[in-house]
Amino acid sequence: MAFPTTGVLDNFSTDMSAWTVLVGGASVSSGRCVGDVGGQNRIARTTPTYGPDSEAYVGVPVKGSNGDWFNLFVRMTTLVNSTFDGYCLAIDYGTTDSWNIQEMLNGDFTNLPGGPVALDFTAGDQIGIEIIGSAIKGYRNGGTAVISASDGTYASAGYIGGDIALSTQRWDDFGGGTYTAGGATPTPMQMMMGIGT
Amino acid sequence: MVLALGWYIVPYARKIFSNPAHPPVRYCLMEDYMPLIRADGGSWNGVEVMGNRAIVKVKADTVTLGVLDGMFTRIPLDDITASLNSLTNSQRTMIRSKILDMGYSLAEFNSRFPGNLGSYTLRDVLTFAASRRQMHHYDLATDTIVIDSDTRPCSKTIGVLDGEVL
Repeated sequence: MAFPTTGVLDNFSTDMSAWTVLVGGASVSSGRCVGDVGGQNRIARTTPTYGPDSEAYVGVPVKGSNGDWFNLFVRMTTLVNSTFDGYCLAIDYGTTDSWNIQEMLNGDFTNLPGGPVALDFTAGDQIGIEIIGSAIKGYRNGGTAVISASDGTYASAGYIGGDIALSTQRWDDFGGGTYTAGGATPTPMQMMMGIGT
Repeated sequence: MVLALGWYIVPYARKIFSNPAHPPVRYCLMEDYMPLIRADGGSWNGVEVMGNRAIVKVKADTVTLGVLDGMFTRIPLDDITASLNSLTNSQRTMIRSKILDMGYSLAEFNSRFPGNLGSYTLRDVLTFAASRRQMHHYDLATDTIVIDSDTRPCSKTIGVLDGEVL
């Protein structure tokens, strides 16, 4: 199954006006997204909601240091830090990076069975999360899923977002949306003709 | 190496990160034994239940299961269709005690299981144990994960969990 199936939403060429800040902040710097503070920077696309079958992904041209972390969210129920639920692909940077899939409840995170998976990624890689039904998967550069879990708690469409922790790492080409069966992103001509949309 | 199955009741804990700014994360303590289980070519999965605990099914080498037996409460049956009639009285009492420890009332337990517990199956008692779980939230002021009294449904059934680890 192909990943991702959706197009890029933001290449961070202008500003962060399409995003809601839940904690900290984020800015555009030299065509990339960077966290504003040296701690937690939690952001999400303001509109629309996607799914329920949905995905989110981002390029990471600059990784954080050991001890930093990276999160991507799908099926976020709100854009308020103390109340949002959903699912998260979490990567903790270390000697070897550690991957987990988590359930989020009121902004509190719980690892789901299936992890951790120890796997380093390289600066420039694309990292993504996909949820189809109750099956949640994490990807590095598409291809075969790195990690998977199952959970049926949150079944509705939701927002997508993530944590760009600290001010060292950089994001580029954030994408995602409603999962497109068939694994191919519709071309503009297909969208005009109503094919694959 | 001999792979076998085991059912456990396992608590959740808070994961500690080297960076104090890292948001708190809860995890099932079975996760700490993932390297052992993976090395066996085994697997595990679980469902959160009441009392900040999970019901976990593991497939691993019998030596690894022996290690887990020393860390967590093991249900002394492997097949969910098995009758509790095959257990001793003390084993059935232990199962009831562990379920009550999760936060279920004795009246609720007795209402679901009138008479001798030996007339029910492992699926019956695990399904009861997985009938709900508690809400939780992170309290920034005290830097603690608070387990609330409000409850919500569990994320999967015992039947689904049983099929995830074969």
